[in-house]
Amino acid sequence: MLATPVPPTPRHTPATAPAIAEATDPREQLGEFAHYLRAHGFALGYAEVDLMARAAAALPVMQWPRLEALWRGIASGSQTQWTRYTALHQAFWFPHKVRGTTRSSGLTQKSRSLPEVVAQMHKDMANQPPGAAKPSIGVADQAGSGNPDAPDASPKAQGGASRSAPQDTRDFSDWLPGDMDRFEPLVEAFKRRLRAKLMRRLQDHPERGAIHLRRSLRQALSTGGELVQLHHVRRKRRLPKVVVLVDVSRSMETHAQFFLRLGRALVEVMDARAFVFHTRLAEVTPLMRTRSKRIQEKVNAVSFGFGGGTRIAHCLGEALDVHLGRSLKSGDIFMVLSDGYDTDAPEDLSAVLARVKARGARICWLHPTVERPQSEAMRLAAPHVTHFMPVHNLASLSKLPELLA
Amino acid sequence: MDESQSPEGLREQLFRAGYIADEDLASLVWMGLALERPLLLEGEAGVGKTAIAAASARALNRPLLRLQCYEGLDLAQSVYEWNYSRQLLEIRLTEAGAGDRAALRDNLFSEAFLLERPLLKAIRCAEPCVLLIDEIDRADEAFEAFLLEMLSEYQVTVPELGTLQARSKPLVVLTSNGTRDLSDALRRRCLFHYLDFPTLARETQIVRSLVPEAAGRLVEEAVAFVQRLRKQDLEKIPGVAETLDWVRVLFKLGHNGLPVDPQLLVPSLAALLKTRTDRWLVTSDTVAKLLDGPRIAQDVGVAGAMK
Repeated sequence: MLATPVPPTPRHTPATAPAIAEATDPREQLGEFAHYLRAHGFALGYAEVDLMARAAAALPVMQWPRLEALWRGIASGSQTQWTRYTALHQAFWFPHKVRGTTRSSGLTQKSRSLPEVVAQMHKDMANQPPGAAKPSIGVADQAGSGNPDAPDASPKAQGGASRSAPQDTRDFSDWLPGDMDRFEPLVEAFKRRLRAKLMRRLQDHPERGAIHLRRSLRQALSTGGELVQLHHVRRKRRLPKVVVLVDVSRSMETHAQFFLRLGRALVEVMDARAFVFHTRLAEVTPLMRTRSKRIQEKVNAVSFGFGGGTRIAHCLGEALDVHLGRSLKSGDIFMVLSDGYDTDAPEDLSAVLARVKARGARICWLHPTVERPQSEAMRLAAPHVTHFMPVHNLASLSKLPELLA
Repeated sequence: MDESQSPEGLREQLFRAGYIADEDLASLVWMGLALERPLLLEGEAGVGKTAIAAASARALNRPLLRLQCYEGLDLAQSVYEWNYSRQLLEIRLTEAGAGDRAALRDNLFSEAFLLERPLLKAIRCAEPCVLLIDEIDRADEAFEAFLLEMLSEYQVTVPELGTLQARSKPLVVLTSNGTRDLSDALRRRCLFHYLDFPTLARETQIVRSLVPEAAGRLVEEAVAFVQRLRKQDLEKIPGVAETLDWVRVLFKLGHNGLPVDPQLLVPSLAALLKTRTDRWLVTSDTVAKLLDGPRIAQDVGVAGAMK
């Protein structure tokens, strides 16, 4: 039998959640709550809901305020969800508190600028299936907008807009900051297409592969010469390394931050090495690995402090000779994100790329323009580039795996 | 009544075992015990993830079994292994006429020849224990997949023997530093808790109880300093373990409070700053600025929290 799992306060006013106001059975209410959490990206199955009910039943009735901590442990699966849970819990079970606070103090939360609000709305609309999200938190959460009597507080206020906005074909320069979380899945798809290279060197394998006789016989000494355990070896496999070089010169100003974001996704997902260049080159891999909120400032400080011109050939040469050394090998991917406007002598770029190609690496040139870069340097260097690819919107990024074709 | 029957009682027990848990964490451990579910603790290194398992073992008076995960960890090291040497010895003895052949044939793959590793040992204990699976994110995905059976059913399948059911259900604590994403299947089987860096008041309390020999003023000032240091953009943010080390170092150096001269403090920062970049970043000027920050009594909410 279920004990009292819900706090003794009315859960929703009809104005904010008309569909669930009639739910009185605790399990039904819990189901509604689970549905609400799912709408906010929590992965809750029947087992979890059952566990939540059991946790509520196991907790002494007087200690019901602890339920939030218990359910938080069950419902959350990551730090992000862990952080978000409290607000969702409060908004679902104590909506009057949320609104009450807003009314009494005016601005209890950090005020948002209009672009941020718009970005958040875009993000929410992209993440939630239409009609699944309850509008109560989205509206009441915003300072000064929690009036339940306002006509806009009805569900249509959020669910009315179409989500079929052609974001995929929108240029990166028109993107809002909130849209940029979509790189990782694309890079994941790219990673899946990478094929490991078989090396000549052998490597231990617990159960498969050829029998390594010498090691097996050595091991058999501990069992009186009986070959009880066999040692297997297989040819070593090596995943191609990815090196990404992002042009952050003035001509790339509008695209640089999106390319940096793509670079970051490549670093996080594929363990790539990332460089930014301008008239000079700097490695930013450690900065991109650090999950610091100031990462963008740091990268900006490194990249935008150099000046206005671009010396692509010089910078690529420096990356090759100073930073990569002998680590760039056959099958590796040398990815340059640039518009190709170079102030070095036109033939220099061709010479550098020829050296990269001589190592056996594949050179992929991602340009922000629809057309292939037309500069003299690029015209001369084009024969060394394995693939050119326009990356000006999300649809073009989805073709990233084709670089490996 | 057993104190671990309620979250508050368990919190008291943990406190007596030397771990100052906040309400949420104590509730989670209690729920892990009540619902027999594993706990998954995530957080930065040095915030006390591993320590909670040891403290729970002490508080509940249970043995602690620890499995340190690493890349390449396999079943032979974590679950069980056949004792081949002993099996061969038995075979040779039987061949020499010192044993019963039929009995040997039946018993050669029995529990008598099974070497139990931590996971199997944990579920075959007569009394429930605390099983710590440390840094699960370092283990391979294959091992993670194997854990699913063990964590949901508390059973281990040995092909030669069949399924070994748990004699007692351990309190399982998994820790992760978040170096890679764990599978959703594993996360779903666990109760999740994110351990953040403690607040000023809680950290002061922790340091006071674990380094009782240090002067009160030293503890307060050192903890306030570390809290401010954490707001700097460091590569490796110092955890509670580092604070404890640092306070011990300062105590050994004979300080009763933080010295006013930052130059005196810089060498001891080796206990807090663990990378070359961080050492380079935190100069004596930075230390001076951090020292000049608001003193502990002026920090928001501290006075109230300490009462």
